[in-house]
Amino acid sequence: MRSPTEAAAGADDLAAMFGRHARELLRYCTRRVGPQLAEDVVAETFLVAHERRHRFDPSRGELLPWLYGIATRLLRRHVREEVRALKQVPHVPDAGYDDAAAHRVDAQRDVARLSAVLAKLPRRQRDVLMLYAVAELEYAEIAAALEIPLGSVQSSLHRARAKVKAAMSEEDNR
Amino acid sequence: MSRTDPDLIAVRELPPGLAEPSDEAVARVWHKIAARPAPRRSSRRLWVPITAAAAVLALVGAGIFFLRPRTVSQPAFTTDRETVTRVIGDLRDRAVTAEPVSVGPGQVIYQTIHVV
Repeated sequence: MRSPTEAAAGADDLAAMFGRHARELLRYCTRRVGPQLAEDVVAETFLVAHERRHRFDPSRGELLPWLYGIATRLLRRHVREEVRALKQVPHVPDAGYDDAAAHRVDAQRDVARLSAVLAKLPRRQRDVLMLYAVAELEYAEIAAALEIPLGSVQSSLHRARAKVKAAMSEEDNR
Repeated sequence: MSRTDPDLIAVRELPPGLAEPSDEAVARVWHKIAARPAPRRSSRRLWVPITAAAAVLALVGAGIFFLRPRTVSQPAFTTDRETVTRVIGDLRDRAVTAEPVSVGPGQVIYQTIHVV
């Protein structure tokens, strides 16, 4: 783990900050809004981070969760696109004649069902779930990134995962 | 709780088949950053609260000016001996030259006294 002084210095150096964290942020944003929009969001994330670098408090956590927080807030401007992409998973027809085709169709149905669940999640629950599952942040890091209490992170994640698990068990029961 | 739980893996892999960000994609992001001018603090951001504060101050000032409690002006009494002597002398001179009022039989004089 880097020292707070190093982290603060990192926020000052845009190129170094970009070199260290751009790929992870791009992966996260791409999973949420697709590759094209993700590039714009990540670029804006670094510009905003550089502009607000004096607000970064190294004593409250690492630089990466702070960047994830900025990116997540910027992604909220694109909720419509995110939800539309999740709902755009094509309708899956009935299974074909062979097992391989049937398996493929089942997998597509699972994806469609999971996408529908994510699309229906409240914004905060989706943000917390994605930061936990995709960005792999800890509870405290998510709380710092979204500027919400730790308890809210835990309850939001619990509720979101319960819905995802329910959708998955529904799939298994079919 | 583990990050290898099936529900988390399923969320992480959504949408399926999505490739990891390429070097080209990362480079494109950097070019977008470099192409944009450094964000400047907009002067408009500063002027809006300043103008609003000035307008509020102007309103408060005007309110205080027009609605201030006003004092009723009182006649000024003088105790200056010279002025008093002069005024009494003037009254006396006027009384000497004034036409005396002749009161006929059955007439009365009605006099009102105003105390100021």
